Amino acid sequence: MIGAGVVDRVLHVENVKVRFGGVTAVNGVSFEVEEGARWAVIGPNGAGKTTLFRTICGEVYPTDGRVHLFGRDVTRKPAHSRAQMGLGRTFQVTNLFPNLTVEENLAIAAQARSKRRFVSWAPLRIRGELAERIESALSRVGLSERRLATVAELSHGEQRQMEIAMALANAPRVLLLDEPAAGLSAAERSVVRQLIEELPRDLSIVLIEHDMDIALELVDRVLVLDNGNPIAEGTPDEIRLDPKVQDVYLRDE
Amino acid sequence: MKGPTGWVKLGLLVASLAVGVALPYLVDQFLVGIVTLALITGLFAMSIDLLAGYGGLVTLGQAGISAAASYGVAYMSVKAGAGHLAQVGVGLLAGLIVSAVFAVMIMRSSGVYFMMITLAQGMIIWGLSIRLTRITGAENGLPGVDRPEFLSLYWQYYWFVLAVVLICSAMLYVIVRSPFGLALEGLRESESRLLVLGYNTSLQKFYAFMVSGFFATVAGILLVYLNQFISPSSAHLTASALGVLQTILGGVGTLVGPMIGSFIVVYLRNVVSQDFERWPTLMGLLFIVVVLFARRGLVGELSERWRAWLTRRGLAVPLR
Ligand SMILES: Nc1ncnc2c1ncn2[C@@H]1O[C@H](COP(=O)(O)OP(=O)(O)O)[C@@H](O)[C@H]1O
Ligand SMILES: [Mg+2]
Repeated sequence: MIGAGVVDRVLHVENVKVRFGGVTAVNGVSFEVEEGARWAVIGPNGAGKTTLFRTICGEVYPTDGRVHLFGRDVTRKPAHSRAQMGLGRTFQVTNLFPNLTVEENLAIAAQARSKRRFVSWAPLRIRGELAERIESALSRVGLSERRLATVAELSHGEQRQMEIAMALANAPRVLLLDEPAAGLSAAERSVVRQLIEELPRDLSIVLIEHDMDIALELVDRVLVLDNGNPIAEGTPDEIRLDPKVQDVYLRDE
Repeated sequence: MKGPTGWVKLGLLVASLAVGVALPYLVDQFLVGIVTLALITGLFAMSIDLLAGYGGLVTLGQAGISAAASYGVAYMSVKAGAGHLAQVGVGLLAGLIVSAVFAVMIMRSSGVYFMMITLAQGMIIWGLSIRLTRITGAENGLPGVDRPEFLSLYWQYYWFVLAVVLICSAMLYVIVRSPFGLALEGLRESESRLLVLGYNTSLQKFYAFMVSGFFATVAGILLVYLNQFISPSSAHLTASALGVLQTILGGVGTLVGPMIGSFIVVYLRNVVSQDFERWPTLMGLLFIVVVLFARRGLVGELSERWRAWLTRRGLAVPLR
């Protein structure tokens, strides 16, 4: 237990390498996220951004390097333990419970970190704190009217909103957003942008975004990956002016 | 009770309860026996539905667990000559121990791997029931499992089975509506999402398997006292698959569906088969028709249409 002092470094990725057979997806990435900070990880397709997230979450274990969460080494801890510590993520490819209703989806997320999730001898009642959490997640993403629809019935845009709502209902302290605006129209993208802007300031965020313009407006620090390699790190302004980054993005166009 | 759906369900429940309780006054001994059997195999199918319909874990070895419980009872009765309390105690223990061992084996698997492992598990029990001659009587089985005095008459046992199956159904009904039950549906829908939300899905599978195994155990105990006999065929893949078939027929993930599926299969197997030898053909046809035209099974399809009808009229209400 860490004393009265605030853990100011919530996430520390240390020289992480991930190899899949012959492919090196992530090649020696390091960065530190302080409490309340907003980071972006950008880079062309296949740069290793999603794999980096999967390593942070514990869905894959790194070939080399370490991951620290709230000051604890979690490199070999399973995904569910890290989530219990307060790490949340959204998925680039929508990953929800399609045949359950919006409300049920959020109930699963909202009860996930309480002892209540083990209860099997009494019906689930959406009341009290659970109801409040669901309501606040719903109103944040603007899906309050859809609570009885099944997720499969939602539009693609609404499902992307649900991705974020699920993470919020889970009440994480560190949130990893993997291309939250993937596949959205320009209008929908600006809704998501505003949504991210308005997230609570004490929530630490790491955002993956393919679109450099959107990403740079939302964060205070940026990490740029190319082919698994970290090629730049800095403030959005520094990144905009960085010739290596411009090269990568020009080459990609 | 909420909205029109609640009232329809309540009405159906009261009506079937009334018929259920009055049954021995309404029909003859043969039919009461048939319904007793259908209730027991219905409970067995519901235990499969908990895993398959809610957790997305299609098991092909459930009969192994029931048979282990049946053998526990039959051994204590026929070979050890123990009292009924000891018979039931050993039956419960046998079913639960087998469940626990199986649960540890499956807790890290899913999908087709889960099916293959449970299939193998069921066949192991079947193999053991043939090999362990001194305990199981091999192919001859263990005949002569007597019921206690107060349950010896057919209608006494019928009412007893009805009560036990009702209690178990009520328990299952609460379980699938509990926080655990909802998370179990999450397992069916997306295990990777559950993991990053903080659910230990291996533990969840272990627990779900144990709960399911408990109800399969109860079904096994009820069945051996009904037939007063157990043989290796009770543990065979055919028995497990029949339970899955009943579940699909009635409606996966509905609980009441598997019970109705069980009544249909037992009726075809024991009543229709008397006049029509090719009843398996009939069952196959019925199965194909259901899979083609009512993909959610009989109950699943009906309740889906009902929900759509209510939604069109703006009468739908929250489930919780
Ligand atoms: N499970 C896997 N097995 C093999 N290769 C993978 C796997 N996951 C990702 N990769 C490879 O790793 C590289 C990085 O992928 P990814 O992390 O998805 O990139 P990004 O999210 O930046 O687009 C790609 O070349 C991809 O093909
Ligand atoms: Mg990606």
